[in-house]
Amino acid sequence: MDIYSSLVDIVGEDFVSNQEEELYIYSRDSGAQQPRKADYVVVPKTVEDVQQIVKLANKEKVPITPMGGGLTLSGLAVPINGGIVLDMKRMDRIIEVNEKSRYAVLEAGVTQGALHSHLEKNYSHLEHSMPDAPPMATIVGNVVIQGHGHLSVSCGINSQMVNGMEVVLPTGEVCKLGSCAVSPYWFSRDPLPDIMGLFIGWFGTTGIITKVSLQLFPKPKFRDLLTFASDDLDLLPDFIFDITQLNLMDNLFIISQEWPPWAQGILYVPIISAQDEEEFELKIKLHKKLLRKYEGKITLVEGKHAEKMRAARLPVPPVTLGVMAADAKQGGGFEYTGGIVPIEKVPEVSSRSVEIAHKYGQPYLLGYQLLTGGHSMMCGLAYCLNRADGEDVEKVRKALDETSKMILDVGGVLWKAEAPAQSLMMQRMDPNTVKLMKRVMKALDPNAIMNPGNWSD
Amino acid sequence: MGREKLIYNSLVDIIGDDFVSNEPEDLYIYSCDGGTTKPRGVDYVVLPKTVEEVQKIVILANKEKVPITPMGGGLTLNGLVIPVHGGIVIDMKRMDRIIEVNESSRYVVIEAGVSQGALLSYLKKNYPDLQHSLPEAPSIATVVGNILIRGHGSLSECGDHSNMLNSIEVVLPTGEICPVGSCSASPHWFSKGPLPDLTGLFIGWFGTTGIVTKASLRLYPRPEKRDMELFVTQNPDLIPDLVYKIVQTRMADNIGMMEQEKPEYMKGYQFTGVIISGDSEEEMDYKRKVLGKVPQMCGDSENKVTLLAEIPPSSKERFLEEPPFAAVAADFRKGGGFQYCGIMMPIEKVPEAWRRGIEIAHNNGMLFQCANQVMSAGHEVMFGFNYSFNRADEKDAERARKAMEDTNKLGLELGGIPWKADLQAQKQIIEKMDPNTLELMKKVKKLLDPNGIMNPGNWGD
Repeated sequence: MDIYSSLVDIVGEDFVSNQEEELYIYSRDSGAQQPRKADYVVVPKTVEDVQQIVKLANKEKVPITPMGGGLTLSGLAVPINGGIVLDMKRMDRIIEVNEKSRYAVLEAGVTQGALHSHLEKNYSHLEHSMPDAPPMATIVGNVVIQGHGHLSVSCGINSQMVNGMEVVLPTGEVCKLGSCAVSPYWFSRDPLPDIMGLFIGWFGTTGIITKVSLQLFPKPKFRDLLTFASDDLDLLPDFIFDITQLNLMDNLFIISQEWPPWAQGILYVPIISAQDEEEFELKIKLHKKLLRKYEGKITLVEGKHAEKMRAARLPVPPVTLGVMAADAKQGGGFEYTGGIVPIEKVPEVSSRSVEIAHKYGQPYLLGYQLLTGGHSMMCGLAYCLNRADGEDVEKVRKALDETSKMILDVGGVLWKAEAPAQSLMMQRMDPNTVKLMKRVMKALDPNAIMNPGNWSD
Repeated sequence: MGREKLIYNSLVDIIGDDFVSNEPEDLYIYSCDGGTTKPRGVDYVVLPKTVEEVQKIVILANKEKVPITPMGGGLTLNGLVIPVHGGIVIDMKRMDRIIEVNESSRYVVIEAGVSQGALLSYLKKNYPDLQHSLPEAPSIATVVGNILIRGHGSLSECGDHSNMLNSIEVVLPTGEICPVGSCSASPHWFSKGPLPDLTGLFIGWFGTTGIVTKASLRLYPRPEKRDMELFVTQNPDLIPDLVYKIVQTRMADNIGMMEQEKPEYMKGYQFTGVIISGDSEEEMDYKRKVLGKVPQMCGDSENKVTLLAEIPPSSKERFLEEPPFAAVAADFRKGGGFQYCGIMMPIEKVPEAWRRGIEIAHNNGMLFQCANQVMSAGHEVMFGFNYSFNRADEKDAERARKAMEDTNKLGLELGGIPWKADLQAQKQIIEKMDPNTLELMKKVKKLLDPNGIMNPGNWGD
């Protein structure tokens, strides 16, 4: 039996396709990567479906690329060597919410938006950390790429918030990890040997996550933001240190963009929340007090610009930065290099990013997010592109490439790196670490069917 | 030359004869710990100074097929660093350099032998604005050892200590030196991701997958003021809701619960302590005020939560001290033996654990005493069932052992998992484990340690 018919046997013909018009959307994403062809797309409903597909793929030695929302913008769910795209969106059950121990168990296709509304409706005093992404991004996809969200300063990054997982291994076994491996409760990643790491950050090369347990957090009754402006890039590490010492914010955005002109300096946007008004006032007061130390050099923005910032950055998820700068270009394309760097490197990253943008005739568009209480910075160095203009796309691709190299030069690491950028990192990586990665991949996926072409040098 | 002499000489060749021993008087202390584990034989102890020495020892152990057990402070009380099959204990204490503190990105890079006390005083002296999360353990506990057993501490609101790890350097069981985390691709040890997460391969494995030689640990703001609020209940059923409400306020640095039957006046009361911190009296007052409203949100007219208006200064000091001196009640039976079962469990299981813990203690002729810690912003509880025993009285030790086994069984029955599990508890865990997960664990161990030399006897072999 051919592969297509075998897939139909597994999931039924409504949920398999090898038709050009359907494969088209799985062969690209909205970033600057060139399209790459998928041969089949399957949309399984159960973990058993996934398991059977994996077994088939092993038998036929055909690649499998698991896909969540497909929104990385770096082509991580666009197959490099063709084969089957496994679209997880039908596995969309929110299985359980444990209120007292604050976690939700969900299938891999559950979106950020679906969990958000489920919680709003049924558990209005709890929330999960929502990434700065469209609501159709999946929870699992975001965990796997080590994403961050609106609670990343107060509660950590999203891959730290996983209590447990169910995984289909590349050889077809279904495996539970975390407390759910020995208990009916998905309450903890402790205190067993930590196997979960084998599936975080690997971009689907080590297995397919079918369920996760995600930590939930107290939802505050009040949220607001402050906007501080500065022209002095060199003050940034000190100011970040001081503002994080206060230990009072949920999240911190830093924005610097050529358009609109009022955002050209450095804008610090701490998100502050509270359970009552008094707490809220106290927190605002303590943040404003900090400005005394930076008198005249960092100032509070009020009035219509503060309102604009509020409109853009306060919603969860926020309006993307590209929208604020969307007038710069027409054509609907947007991509960024995400570099995670030590905080003291941020000034250098900023000035070098501006140089690169200008070199390629682009306006600079920098959006940063502080990670885990002031331990590193995610630097989003973005470019808008006119998708219909090949020359423009090519220019942006070059700019992205140069930006990636710059991030690595300053000692940063690339976030959700596209395949060529993965190779760039591996070239700089300790050879023993590369060897260990390969040993792990080989042991888990002896037939190399899982999203091949990723994490390969 | 006999094999033993050969190994001894090879070890001397590697690190010099001051730092190797096969003498019974030196081996004695490595063959037992402060818990109820029966002593087990050790053949050699070595104290390396450098990662290259560790590497050479590992290569030797592979050649000679002799087991290696890496050791930090040796304070798990569960015999995790007492070799099961003899061989070499690698005591990491001489690798005690604090290599770097990065203030703006808040991390410290240390060698595996750095103790909690050493890091605490180093930071107090040189970086008084920063702190690390300090476990409730003696100061000689090592920072790395505690991370690897997934310990918790004064800042557990931010997660367990393995969650605070940025990067590590590991000597693999086959001898390669391997950086993991951002330090594998950058000169900076500032992050774990966003690379494929290999750190998990070394966390929670009790030394069966490699020897961690360096780690980068996150540091946190050190507030100017700290204080404790204490809630009292007389019915453990109130605790899940009380803890939930406290966490919901987001005012706590740390939350712990305890009960003890001695001294008599404490019996029947559950104490829930909340550590708060801030930089100004205004902030502290606000936090006190918010927590002050919690009792009226919990319980009913029959079952009340009370906030103690005043805590005796000596008790308060005990909890606010760094590290907290909580084991003060540990020795009331005299004889220096102290052991506890830490069970990680969902918060809603706490009342049942409380009641049945009392039964287990009494059935085994022991007194009930528990010290529990809420972990990572109210996501789970480490329920610590404490048992003191007279070390000189083997019958008493046996009673404690039996109580431990019963407690681990109870913990698993409730859906919890024993923390830093001893051999018996590891066996109990594995019996309940998904067989595919167990297979994967074994596959990982085999992959990393083909000769089975790393702390063998742990985790399912």
